[in-house]
Amino acid sequence: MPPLLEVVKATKYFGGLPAVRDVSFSIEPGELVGLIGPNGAGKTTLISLISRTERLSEGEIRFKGQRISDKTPHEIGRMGVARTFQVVKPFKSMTVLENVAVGAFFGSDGLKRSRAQALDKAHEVLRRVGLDRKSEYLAHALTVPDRKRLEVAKALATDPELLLLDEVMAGLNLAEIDEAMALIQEVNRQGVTVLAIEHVMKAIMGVSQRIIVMDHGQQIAAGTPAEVAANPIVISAYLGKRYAARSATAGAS
Amino acid sequence: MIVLVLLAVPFAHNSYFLHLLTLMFAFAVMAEAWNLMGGFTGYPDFGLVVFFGLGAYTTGLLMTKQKAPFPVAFLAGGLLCCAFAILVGLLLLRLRGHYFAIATLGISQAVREIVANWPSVTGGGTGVSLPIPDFENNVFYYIMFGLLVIIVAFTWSISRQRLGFGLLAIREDELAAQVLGVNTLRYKVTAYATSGFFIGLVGGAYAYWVTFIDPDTIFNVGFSVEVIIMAVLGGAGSIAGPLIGAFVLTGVSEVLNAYVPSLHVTVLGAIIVLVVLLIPNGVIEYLGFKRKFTLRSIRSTLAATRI
Repeated sequence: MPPLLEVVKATKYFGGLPAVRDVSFSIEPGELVGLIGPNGAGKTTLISLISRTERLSEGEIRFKGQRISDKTPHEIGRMGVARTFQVVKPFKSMTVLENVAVGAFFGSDGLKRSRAQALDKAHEVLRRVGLDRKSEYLAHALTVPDRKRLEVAKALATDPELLLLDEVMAGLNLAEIDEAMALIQEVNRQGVTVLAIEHVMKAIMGVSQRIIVMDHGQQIAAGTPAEVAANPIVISAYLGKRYAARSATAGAS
Repeated sequence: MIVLVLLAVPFAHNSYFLHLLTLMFAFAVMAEAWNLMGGFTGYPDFGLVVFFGLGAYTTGLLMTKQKAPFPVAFLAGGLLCCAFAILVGLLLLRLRGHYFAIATLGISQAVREIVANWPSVTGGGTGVSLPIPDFENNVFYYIMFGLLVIIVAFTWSISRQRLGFGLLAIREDELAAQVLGVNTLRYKVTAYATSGFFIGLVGGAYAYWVTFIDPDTIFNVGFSVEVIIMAVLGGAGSIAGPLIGAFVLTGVSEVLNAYVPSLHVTVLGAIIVLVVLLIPNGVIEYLGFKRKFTLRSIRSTLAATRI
């Protein structure tokens, strides 16, 4: 069986500037993978390339063995790849329930659903993310953590096999981060493969089985959270070369 | 109840009142049709007059040159507009927001020029005289009223179904709609084609009603603007809003024309400015008592819409 997601030499130029350069990795079904890296490393661009909201300059992306890099975003969405946006994109003047119903109406099995089935599905997802009591609120009336929940709920309503999360924990307080992590793990346990961009290192290191690290558009490391945290290349990317050198000598002595 | 009263109106034999209501319904159908694009989908069509004109000309030319019976010519006008909208839509609906608005405006003027300068087919600037209807004017009343009932029922039903959810999602955030699986181009073209179909039908019925059409009066840009103002004034994106807007504006316009014709455009302009400033979401917002019309609400609206 092919991996769920294969990214092969993905490259994206904005003008002459490479935002993502020669990135290759694959994700097996059921994995929860963290994607980390300093600001401007190309993480969001990579997710946009997978969901095809940005076009690849070179390379190829395959989902379940099938080339998806030349499909349209809605086709990829219907195949079972869902994503969230770092700057959340609620349908502001629609209710929370209606927001999620859009995912239920159009996602993988969405076109077969009747109105009643789509609304049922939306209610079920809202219960899972803990937004069920606010289902009749207009989306623009939600607080920041609730908007993040809504963003995840919309993606979940499409019944994804692969969920791409772009910094769902940014802007949350510690208690909310714990809740968000629990939700992501719960979703993953139910069989959804997750690729999550995260800045909150402690959070993502705690839940991921595998971490991919990017810097300046390139993949600089990959491995278990422990391996990645001890990797000098990663430390220098995050904290600077001098710090890496000092910590290496400190470790040696 | 209201429907029954409206159905009985033509028997009242007040021809002026009948004329006014027929006109109101015609505008209401077009405002509702525009609302499918401008209100639900978030793509303001500034060239809707192109459908009105093509519908009118198709009906007119088929009836004079092919001697087609009115129902056939009338339906052909609607279908031609539908096809035209699909063609134009597949090209233009890749543009967003105001680019789309400008492009549709351009198309409507281009088509007007073609119609005006192709006398062998369209009669050119001299226009087309349709045969005099062999039935009474109340038939046009029923046609416009029927179209209005159909488009309101249609809009209501799609607003509860997949199509409506898809269109609203496109208006709110097109990229977010796409990644959730909405085939945005197809949905936009569907809305545009439906809108064109209804406006084309109104154009066809109008042509036979007034029995004379020429490019300048039929492809009039001011006409597009008027319909848009009706929809926005009543409340774009709602179902009752455009209807209310069309009735109110057509009524006010008639009254002004009758009593103070010299101030007609001035007063109308002032009303529009006030509405846009004070109730940018349309009259509909104040009808459901969702908001009270107080000084404070006016102030908050002004604050919210300030650049």
